[in-house]
Amino acid sequence: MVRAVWLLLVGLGLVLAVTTARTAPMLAPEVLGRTAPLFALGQRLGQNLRAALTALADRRDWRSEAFRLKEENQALKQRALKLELENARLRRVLNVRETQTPAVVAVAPVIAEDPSGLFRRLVLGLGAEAGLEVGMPVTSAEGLVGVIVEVTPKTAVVRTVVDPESAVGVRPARAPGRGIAYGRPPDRLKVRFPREVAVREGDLLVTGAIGGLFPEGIPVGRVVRVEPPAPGELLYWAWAKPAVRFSLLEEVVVLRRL
Amino acid sequence: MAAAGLFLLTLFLASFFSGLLPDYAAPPDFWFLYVAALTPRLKPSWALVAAFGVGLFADLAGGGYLGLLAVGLVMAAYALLGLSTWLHPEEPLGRAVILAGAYLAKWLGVFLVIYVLGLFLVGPLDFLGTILSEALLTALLAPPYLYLAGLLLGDADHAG
Repeated sequence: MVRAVWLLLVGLGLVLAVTTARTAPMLAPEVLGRTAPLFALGQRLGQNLRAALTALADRRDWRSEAFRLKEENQALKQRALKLELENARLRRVLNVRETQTPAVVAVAPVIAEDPSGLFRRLVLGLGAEAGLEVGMPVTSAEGLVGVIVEVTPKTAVVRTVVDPESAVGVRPARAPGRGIAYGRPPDRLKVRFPREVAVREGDLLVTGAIGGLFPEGIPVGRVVRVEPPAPGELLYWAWAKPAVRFSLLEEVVVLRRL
Repeated sequence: MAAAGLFLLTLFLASFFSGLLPDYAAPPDFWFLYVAALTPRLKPSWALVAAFGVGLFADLAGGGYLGLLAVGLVMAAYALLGLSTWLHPEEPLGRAVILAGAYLAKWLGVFLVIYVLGLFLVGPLDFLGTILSEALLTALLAPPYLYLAGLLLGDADHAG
């Protein structure tokens, strides 16, 4: 009996499935109307609970996300700072290129300086392999640094303007006349001018020798003291402070030899 | 009356879990559990009719193929009745095996309808994820549901 009912119901189910397969019948509207509120209530409750659980999970995610963003922010700040420094450096290089000469050979790092104190020389981290040669002027954004006096394949030695062996042709930036600036370590230039050249304290001295080693107009130093000429002397001396603070130099610009 | 109350509760639970679970997880089959709770408490023939009716209602409410779940639940009820005569439904392990067998029978009925309808593009492997997810959740929720059903409907007549 039970088996017969079972077979009957299975058969009925199959017939129903086959005959209504294309119509997808639904419950009568009056039945649906009664069951729908309960179904909707359960469905809505479930959805709300899921939304609440998702929100809780998201909140945990937000915390880790906030932590991650903080770290990223920190890294970006550091990167921005690095880029700012890089930007400033490149601006200085550009400034040198625009104001001094377009003939930039290289931007070289300062890797060492003469420790003796007798000479004021810098060692650059680039050498002959980078195209550096003896006699090439070396500058920075602040002014003239010196000239290359020795080159190895990977390094170069710069004789700065305050080196006792240095002699640079200069002229006052706002007055006619020329002079020669000799290096006086550790941080002074002794400049010899003809009597007729009028120089005062505070005057800016720039490169200006005819046929010299350096391009014209590069700041060399600022006059800090003038020694009045002795009676009958055709020349007089002035003391100048270099435009460049050598101890702060990190990079220099090497220019093509004139 | 109690059966009607359990029916409404089942409807609520089915919709609740349908809304609660994400799309990739198939909700537990509360209609199967309802039939599993009802079958031992009715005369065998009526239990089969009730299972068929419940399945038909679920098919109609879901707008699917009419007869799909009806046949599946009839198969489940029949398996429940049959297995209950061989095993010991009064023992937890026996009940678990009976339920597992009935659940497999339900899917057998579903695939029978699919076969008859000629939906050959759909094979058992296509339903594997659904079956596993549904089976797991149904197995997890079966003990509390059947306990609640026992409270509402009274003790089952395991003799069937």
